[in-house]
Amino acid sequence: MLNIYIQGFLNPPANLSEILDAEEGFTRIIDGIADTTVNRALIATIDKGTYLDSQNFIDRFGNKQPLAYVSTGCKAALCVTSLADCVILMSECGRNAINAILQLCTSGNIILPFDYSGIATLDTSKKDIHVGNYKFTSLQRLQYYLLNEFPDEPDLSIGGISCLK
Amino acid sequence: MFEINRNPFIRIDLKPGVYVFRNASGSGKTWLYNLFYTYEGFGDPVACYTYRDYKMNRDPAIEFAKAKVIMIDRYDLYKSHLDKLIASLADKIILIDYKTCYAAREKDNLCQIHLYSNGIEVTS
Repeated sequence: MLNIYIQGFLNPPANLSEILDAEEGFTRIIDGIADTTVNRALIATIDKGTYLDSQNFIDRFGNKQPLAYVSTGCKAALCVTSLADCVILMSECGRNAINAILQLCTSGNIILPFDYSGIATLDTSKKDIHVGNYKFTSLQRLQYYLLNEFPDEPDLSIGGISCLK
Repeated sequence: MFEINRNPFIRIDLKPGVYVFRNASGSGKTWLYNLFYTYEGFGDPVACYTYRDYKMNRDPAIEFAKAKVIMIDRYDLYKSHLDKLIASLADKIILIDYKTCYAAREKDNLCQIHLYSNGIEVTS
């Protein structure tokens, strides 16, 4: 599942290493970027590029570039999929990168800024996203929670959310 | 209009003022920063500052004073640190990569990047 923490309100567990600098975090992926459906989709969605191999991609103009040249937001997203024992701060990610992570990443750990202002998406596929004591299966329900309920208790009668304990 | 006719070119179609990039990843901000960094070394009237400079306690005042266009990259990671300096440079075009507290600098203008295979353009 994808675990979400909220900066200043919902802290990650101590066993996760916090990555506050996405550029630095990206350099910890020493084996390169794995060829996975999710990584390919993140590069395509955020940077309009095409995954080529563990060290290179094709940029939007058709040129081969090292993956070190993807945007900072894309690096943060690739850290989410590649560094399972870390939690990645999303403060440098634009809304498009955060939305891509929420839509595409099926595992990983992220810290959202408290003033994160929403997920504009028509994606209605089933998700497995945990925020504190709650599991969300719907991005729309997650958006409603973050914008209108957090840090108060959510309304469990609205679909797309369940209590974990 | 400010222009550097190199390959890749930089074209800044803005009047002096403070501009914040629209809140999207992958738009080309990091590439623009890298071009500024390179061209500043060639003596072009641009200057740039990023998180690395902040961590190394670099004072950018002298470089900023010489430049016509300044790019401040990844300001989320050291926000407010350069606010006084920015406020003192009214005659410059100042471009800020700043996402987290998007509304906190609401007095600033918005700008956007247009990428081309041989250069980069910034407009309002």
